[in-house]
Amino acid sequence: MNASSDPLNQSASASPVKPSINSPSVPQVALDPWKTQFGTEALFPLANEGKGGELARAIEDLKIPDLRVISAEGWRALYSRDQADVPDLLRNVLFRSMPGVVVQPFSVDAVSKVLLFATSRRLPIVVRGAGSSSFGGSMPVKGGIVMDMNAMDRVLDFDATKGMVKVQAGMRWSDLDWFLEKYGLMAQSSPSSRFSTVGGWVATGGIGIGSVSGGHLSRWVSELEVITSDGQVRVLRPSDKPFKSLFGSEGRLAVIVSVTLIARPKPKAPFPALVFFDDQAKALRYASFLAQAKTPPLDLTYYSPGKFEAFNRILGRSHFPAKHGVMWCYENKDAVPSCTAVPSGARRADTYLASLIWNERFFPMKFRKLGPGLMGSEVMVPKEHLPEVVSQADKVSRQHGLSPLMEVHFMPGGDGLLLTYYTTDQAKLMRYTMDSFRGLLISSALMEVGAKPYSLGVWNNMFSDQAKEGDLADAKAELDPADIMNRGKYPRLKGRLGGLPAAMFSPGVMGSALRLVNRAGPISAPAIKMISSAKAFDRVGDDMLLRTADECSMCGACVGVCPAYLLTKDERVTARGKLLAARQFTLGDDISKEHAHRIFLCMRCKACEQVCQSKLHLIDAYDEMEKRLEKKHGKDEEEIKRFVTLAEQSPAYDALVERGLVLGASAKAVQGGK
Amino acid sequence: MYERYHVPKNEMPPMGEPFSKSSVIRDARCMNCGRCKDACIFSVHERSAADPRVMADPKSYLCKNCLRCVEDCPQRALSVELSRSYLELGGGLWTPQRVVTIWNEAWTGKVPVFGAGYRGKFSGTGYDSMWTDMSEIVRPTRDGIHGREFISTSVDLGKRVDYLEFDASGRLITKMPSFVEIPIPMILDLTRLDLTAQAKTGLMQAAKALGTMFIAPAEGYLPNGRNGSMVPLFSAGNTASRYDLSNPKMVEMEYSPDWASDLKALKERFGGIPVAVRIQAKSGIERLAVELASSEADVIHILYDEQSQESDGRLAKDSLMAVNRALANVSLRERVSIIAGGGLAAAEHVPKSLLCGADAVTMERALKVALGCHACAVCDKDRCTVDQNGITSDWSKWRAVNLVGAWRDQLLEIMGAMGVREVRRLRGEIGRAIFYEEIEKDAFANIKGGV
Repeated sequence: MNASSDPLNQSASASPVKPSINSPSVPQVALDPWKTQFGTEALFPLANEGKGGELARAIEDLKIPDLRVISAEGWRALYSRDQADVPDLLRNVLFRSMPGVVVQPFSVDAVSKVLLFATSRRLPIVVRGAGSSSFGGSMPVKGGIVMDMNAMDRVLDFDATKGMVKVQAGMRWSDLDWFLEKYGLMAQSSPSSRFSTVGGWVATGGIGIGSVSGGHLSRWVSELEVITSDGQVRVLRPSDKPFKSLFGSEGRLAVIVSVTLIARPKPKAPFPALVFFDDQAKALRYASFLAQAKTPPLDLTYYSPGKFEAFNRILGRSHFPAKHGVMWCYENKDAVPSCTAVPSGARRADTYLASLIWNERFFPMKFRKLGPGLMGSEVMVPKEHLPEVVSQADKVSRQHGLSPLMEVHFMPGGDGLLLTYYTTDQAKLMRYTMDSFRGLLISSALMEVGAKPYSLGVWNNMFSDQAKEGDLADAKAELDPADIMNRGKYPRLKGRLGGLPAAMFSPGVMGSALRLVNRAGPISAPAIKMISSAKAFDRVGDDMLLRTADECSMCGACVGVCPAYLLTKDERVTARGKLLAARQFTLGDDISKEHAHRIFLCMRCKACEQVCQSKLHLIDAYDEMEKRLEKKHGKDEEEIKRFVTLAEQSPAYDALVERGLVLGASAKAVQGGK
Repeated sequence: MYERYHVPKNEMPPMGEPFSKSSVIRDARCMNCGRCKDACIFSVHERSAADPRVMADPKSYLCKNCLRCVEDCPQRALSVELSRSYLELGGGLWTPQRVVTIWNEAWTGKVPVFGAGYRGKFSGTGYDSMWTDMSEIVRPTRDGIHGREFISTSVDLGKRVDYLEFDASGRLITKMPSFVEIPIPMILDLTRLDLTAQAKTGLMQAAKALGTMFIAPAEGYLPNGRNGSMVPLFSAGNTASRYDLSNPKMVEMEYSPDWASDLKALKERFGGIPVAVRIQAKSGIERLAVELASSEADVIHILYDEQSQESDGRLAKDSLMAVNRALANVSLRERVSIIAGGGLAAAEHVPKSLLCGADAVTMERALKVALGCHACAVCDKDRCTVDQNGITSDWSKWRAVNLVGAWRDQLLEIMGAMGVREVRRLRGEIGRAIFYEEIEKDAFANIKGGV
């Protein structure tokens, strides 16, 4: 075959991009030495036993270089869910959420070859980043292949003068910021889960912290490199037609392999403030006004009184009044415009409270600890509907006996992303199950007063927006004619049993049902409440391990800092993975011996504890977990020894240690740093 | 056949938990990365044997205070501080560092490593105010000192004649005085040591193993400890005491106003071997030394206290130099050998004593310290934490051999660096030493307002 006509060859030449550094101020060093740059062979060899089935074997038989094929059952199970707590009942009965096989590509070429394979068999393929969304977008509904992009996490190119940085899709936002910080730069905005991947945020939305000044993510992405289902590499620029469609496409168009971003200078002394209002409408009007100003703030967020109450509970003291708060932040003190003047009746909070809230902006999931459990609804709200939607969210939540934790992230111009969270208790099965419907009820009620869907995934599928779907259908026809990308969710959700149960989530069925329930609110809410309070299925007793697992916010902050993950690229070794397993076996569902042994691969570095936003006592939990697992499955001391030896010899681990494991720890732990 | 002198060593760890000079502290920031393990060449940091994922508690007692682990720790989780029990050790001349050094020398027989460099003060009292001239320090190699290059540490104790006389036929007619040669200028003196019988037996065996001698009272010792290395000490007026070892190499007597008759009696009883006179150092010692040197006495054993002082305060360093000079002034220096004892708390004190005029030294408290003594400023039996009862003779022997061996190795190092191949040449060689008082004068005397 002629090399130039071979699409695989073309992509191969594009895959291992050598860092080219254009600015003379940048030292000629590896851009991110702590990252996996050695391909699959540098990974700690893990047993991959288990019922992989025909599909895994078929992919293994292709002997694709730079590709890890994951077939073990316990390992695959991690990929059957995302951050959301969805009662198993919903997930497993309605859908085939267990992937047939999981692949981890380490190069563009490997991505391309897997796509060709999937196309040849018309297999659904679900691309997964950090799994930190909570609407099921990365959850399989018809089995198939899950492609884990986390091993492609490098900086490919960087130009300090232009602020241009090209990263692989599996790069985490926290790592990107760490990289940019050295050059005095930062991302223009980031998702509220900083531990999610760059590719993942492109696919799921693009609105988050800093959007009010940076705008939608698509405004500061200059190039996307994607692989389409025919295995071809396509480079898309803002002028290209499908470019826009990829943002929020939720993995149904193509596999994003690299993203080129334009960073902005990092302010040296950002100046945050917090303004309290008695009246919700006034607070929103004030925020809206700032969002529409000529120079919008770096950050602008509205917080509901419930959010501040939750803060007080976490902090163990009443620092905040239970009022409506608007938090803004400008480049520096001098950049604060006069339009921020506090209106009459409002009050500026103390500086330390503002700083506290501003620093906590990346950790929205820590409130999960209060349940333990956190669920919610996320909707886009056009500015003209904002006051009504927010007050509706409050009203509907309260109808259901929930105290909502609401926040609105603003866009330039004043539109907002409304997050309405509420705590649930995973130990109370009926309440927990009913609570997961309440989120849908809230979303549905908000759509009625003008809100628009943000992320669809599985659970918000019924809210899909017809106009947007049209656009996406065109792009899909162009990029994925084989219809393999995230098949089975859009435009109509499919699942098990001929798709019948899944049809419940379709706009026609569930949409109208929800509307109906909402309209009958005064009657239906107490009815749901009554069902929720049934105690028959509640867990009895208190298991420290299970409680810790329940309190885990599943945010994945621990994944990026975990040296064991660095060496294995197996999420089961991370805190999140371990706690998932802990929940499984404490609830009586045993895990395999092979899986149990993974749990022991740990350097006890405590980095996970340090980044844990729920402040869990993870090391205690590991000790307890290991004690129980050892009793049942023993432990593979030889493997642990080999693992520790590999870690000590691994240059990647060495670089991670040098970096201080936890971002910036070594420089800031001691005055003056090293 | 000639056999090079060599001290065999045998690692002899302390009884019970080894002492920790430093407390190496690993705090909660530790992330078990293992960098300290690579940094430490003394194996303070190791992974836990039970669970290799975590670092074991640091073995503080192995720490040499080099702080490399502290430097290398990416988490700044390590700190090293001197332990409280270390700071409480010893007293006066017997600094905590010297006590611990002796312990380590007795354990391993190795030249001590101090690790963190010398950070002053650059002078002190006594021997701390003098340095040996190490102008040849670049020349010897380790292989040189211990291999190709031969450095003798043998000394002779006894009288020397000023000249030899021969008759017409060329036969030697000078009556040669008796002397004893020992391979190291160090003698073990057990007389003033309060130790168990087992411990003392071990020290006696050590003296034999080292080829040197030990001094012990002629009476009252366990017979099984006696061996040919013993120098029996006769108290004043008791020169006829029963002593059943027939062939001592040397005997010693206590000085008393009637010393002359005791000396005569011993000379008669043990004809042909040197007799040492043991004398407490006090002011006027140099006059006494001249008197003894003019007599039949072969060796003068001058005792200082364990702070290296005469009974009225003059330092051994100055005292020995005064004795040496006094004897030299009357041309009697070769007529007598001088042994200095007391206040030898470190290996460097051996060559320094020799430079000030001694032919050999006795080791006393250092031996007790080698057996675990803390060298407290005031020895209080009620508060003593050292359990002597567990000491076996074998342990005691090897601890002492290791200590003496380590001191001899350091003597070799110093001599190598000085370019001196014969320890006899060190005696009174103050020209090869530097004294703080003198260089201070050299540097500042001409400056107005200077010394």
